[in-house]
Amino acid sequence: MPSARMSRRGLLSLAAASSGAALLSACSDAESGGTVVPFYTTESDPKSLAFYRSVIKRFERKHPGVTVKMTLYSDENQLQYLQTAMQTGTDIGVFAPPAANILDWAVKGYLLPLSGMIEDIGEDDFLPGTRIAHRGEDYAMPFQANASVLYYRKDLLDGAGIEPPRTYGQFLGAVRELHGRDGIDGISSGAGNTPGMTTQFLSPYVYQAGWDYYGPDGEVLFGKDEVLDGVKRHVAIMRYARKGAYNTNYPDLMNTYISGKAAFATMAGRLGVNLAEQNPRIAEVTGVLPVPAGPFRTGRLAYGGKNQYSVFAHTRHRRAARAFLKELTTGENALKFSLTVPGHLVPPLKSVGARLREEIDVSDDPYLKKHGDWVRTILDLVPHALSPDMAMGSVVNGRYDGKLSNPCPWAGKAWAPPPADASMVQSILLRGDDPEQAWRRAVDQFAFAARDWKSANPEWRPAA
Amino acid sequence: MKTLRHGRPLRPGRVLQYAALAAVVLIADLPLLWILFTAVKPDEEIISYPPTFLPHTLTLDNFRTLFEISSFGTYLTNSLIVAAVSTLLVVGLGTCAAYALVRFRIPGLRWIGELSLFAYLVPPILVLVPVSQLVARFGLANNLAALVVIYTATLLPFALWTLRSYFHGLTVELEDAAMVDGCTRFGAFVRVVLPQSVPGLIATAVFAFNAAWSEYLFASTLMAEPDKLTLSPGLSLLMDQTSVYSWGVLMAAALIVVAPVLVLFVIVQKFLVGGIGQGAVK
Amino acid sequence: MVAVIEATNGNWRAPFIIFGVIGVLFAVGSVFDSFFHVDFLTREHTFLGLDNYRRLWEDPAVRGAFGRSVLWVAGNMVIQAAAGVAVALLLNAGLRGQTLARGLVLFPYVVPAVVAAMVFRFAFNDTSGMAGYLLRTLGLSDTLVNPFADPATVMFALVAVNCWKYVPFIVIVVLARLQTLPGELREAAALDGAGRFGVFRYVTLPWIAPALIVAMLMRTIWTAYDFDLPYLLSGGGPMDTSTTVPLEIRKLAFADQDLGLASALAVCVAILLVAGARMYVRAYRASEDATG
Repeated sequence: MPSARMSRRGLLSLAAASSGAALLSACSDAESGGTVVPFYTTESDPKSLAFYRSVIKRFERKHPGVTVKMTLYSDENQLQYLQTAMQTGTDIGVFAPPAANILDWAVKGYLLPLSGMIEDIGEDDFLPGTRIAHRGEDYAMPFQANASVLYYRKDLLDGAGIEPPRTYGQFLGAVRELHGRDGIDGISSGAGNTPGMTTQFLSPYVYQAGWDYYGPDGEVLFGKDEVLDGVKRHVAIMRYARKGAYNTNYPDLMNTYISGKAAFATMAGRLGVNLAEQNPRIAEVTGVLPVPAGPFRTGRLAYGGKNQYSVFAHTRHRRAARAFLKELTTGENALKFSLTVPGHLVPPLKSVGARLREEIDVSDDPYLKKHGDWVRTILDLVPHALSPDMAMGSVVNGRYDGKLSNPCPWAGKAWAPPPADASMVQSILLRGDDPEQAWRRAVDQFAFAARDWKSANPEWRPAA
Repeated sequence: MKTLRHGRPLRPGRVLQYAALAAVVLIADLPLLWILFTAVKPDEEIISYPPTFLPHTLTLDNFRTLFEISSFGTYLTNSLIVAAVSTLLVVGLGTCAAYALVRFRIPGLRWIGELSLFAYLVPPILVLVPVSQLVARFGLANNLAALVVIYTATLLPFALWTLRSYFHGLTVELEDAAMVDGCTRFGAFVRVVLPQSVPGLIATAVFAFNAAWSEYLFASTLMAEPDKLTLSPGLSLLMDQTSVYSWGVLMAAALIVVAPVLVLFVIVQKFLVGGIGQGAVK
Repeated sequence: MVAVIEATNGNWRAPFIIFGVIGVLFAVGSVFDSFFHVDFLTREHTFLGLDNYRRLWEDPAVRGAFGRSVLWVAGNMVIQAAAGVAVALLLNAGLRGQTLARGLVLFPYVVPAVVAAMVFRFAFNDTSGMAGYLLRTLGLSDTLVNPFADPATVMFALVAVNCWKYVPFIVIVVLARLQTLPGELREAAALDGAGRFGVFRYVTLPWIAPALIVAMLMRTIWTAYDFDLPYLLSGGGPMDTSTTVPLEIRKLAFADQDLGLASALAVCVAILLVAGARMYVRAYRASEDATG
């Protein structure tokens, strides 16, 4: 039996020593004085990052003693990342919460009210449906809005003697006509478990059926007969996508169009930017239109997501954090940011949007020069680009009076993977389920999510 | 001590074996070749159809872009440190414990060995939050040492169990002889037992290194600062960073992730399968 | 390494007691949580008794995930064990180029899951995927296939990729063990008139059994909780046709923020795993006694 013994502490110090000095030097700056504003972002486009760095540098020069520490984290596991950070007492300062969770976190007291700042900017300057308020207080500062549009191949349409589609009937006809020519797909749209993806493609068909997923008070509207018609219209189009698209992600869908293997694609502004960069030949023969998805306000209601920053309620330097957030998301900086990925990062402030419009005419940016009309189409659509988790109840029974700022607090649950609408579309397309049955299942799931949340939060009242 | 293999004529069965071997090698390595070829192709060629297997145009653009938009070198260094230190700890501690488990009859010992398996019965995703809280309390957030401790803890039971099965195959007589010759128990352990167990040690080390090299969940949650990221979270960040993605850049990154471990693997592989050179045993 | 061994020589029990206790604490914690509603952000516990377990039992999504996990673990273990032993024997058969082949065959094992997922998604994407193109050229399929998008094939595709990555692990373990197989054992058996299969059945297999069983024990537990590959390859879809238990646990814990329910599910899996582990441990002891 060996005799030399080591204490437990000896063991641990051995472990620490052998992990090397390099490791231990790591936590030194945590305790340094001064004002540190942590800034957490998932916006990882290299151009956007360069922009952030320059803003930070200027902000720090303007506010001596304040440093902004930027941390980039992956979009994919943001929910678990942020929740873990909050629980471990990490100061996440200025950060971008997933839209679906903001309201829930605001209710639970994890976000700092930003109303003062919103008033400073001017409440009227915000595009409709970009603010997130709860009991009269704002909890988020939007930095991006967007709209999903229809990209189409002019050359293919011309070749087949088809006009660019303005109605759903023309759209379906064109997709059907072009599908299969030279191995090309009619459309590059898809379904999948990526949060929000299926909704992005499906929701125009719901809106242009004259309904929404949920009503203003959270009652389920997805079960209306016209919605079923919309679902059928969407599925009819989707039959002209490749099978792999029925469980896919954004990159694969974008690559299909960029590589010239689809006649149509529905996507936000990002596709245009990547297309122009990676395959200018196809960009040359591409046009952009609103998605004609149904009889109600055809093409004039779109899907549009948005992104926003919030300030962590327990951040150490609240004033500095708010100052930085304002600097980052308003005025000249907001314009510059929107120009890093033009047409994808649409400014949520009207004043900035107007300046972006002017910029299209005068800018030297090759993308804006060449494809300014795409960006303009998107800018026109953004005020009417809705998402069911943020603008709940904007379209009711063939009525649309502008986009509501009405976040759905149970969105996290309603669209938890596998999202009910994604499963619906997939089961029809992949398993051949009866559309009506699949749709009824989805209706039940949406109803359950709402009921469940409401029963746990009986005091909740909708924002709009 | 001859094996049966020498001087066997080439029979049909042999031919079949060669065919099987070729098939196995092909299945194993085709995807890796695909990574290599894609990494050196330009974007247009990657998305063209029909796909080209061998690149028509060679380019290093993907690597240039990779290092422009990400700190891949830093991720690489971090992973190397974490994986190497964890491996040393796991194999070192595991060897001693497994040896003790095999050679000494101590009450409750088997029980401890089996108890250590409990560490695996809770899915990592569930302990993510409590572990993160512990790490934060000890001030180890954003410190690679936290990963070393976590990996060592989770891999140790594995090392114990595998090494135990190797030590079991060794005879006691040689050790006893060594001790009669004046060796201490520890001396016998180092001079007699360890050399015989090289393949087992290497197998365990390769396993531990690899597990630490590619771990994603804890690394992505505990290491927030960009200069503390390891490869797996770095890669997943890169997927966002390539403006939704360029296969070429991703494959270039994949190649860089895989290459060092492959090289390392080729080096240790010799010991893994031919480690008992002393001839003193068996 | 020697330094570490020397330093800890006398204290081999400490790390295991520490880590064993931590492991048990986490296990106990999960069991405890499973009887409560746990508020995600405040960790406030509200006692529910067996409610979480009842809800699990009644939830079709959980039952489905359970079934898929059983398929996932069983499929993986059977294929990996069989293929692993077969390939290890092949690599130990004294073929020419054997050393090189050994290295080449073991490569996939060191490929991280993120990379494996990336390359298989890429190879099987149905826009320009090489794998689909090959299948089509060989006449095995008339369109480019994406097996990760088809409910009929997705689980098989996931198992196949996982086996691609982990069969080499079994090969490593078995191969290392084969190195220590005393030649005279085989010779004796051959002299006794045992055929090739007889040598395998009565000499080789019992010899590699302890190492194989331990490797399978570990792999069973890890496979049961493996999150990376299924998540990265198909995201649990299409619909929920590839949602295994760990994906469901993550959904319950983080999307639904229901730690109690997630813990209850983990406890159920752990009970099954303990039962499975007991089997392995018993088999291990038997094989150890047979060779030891």
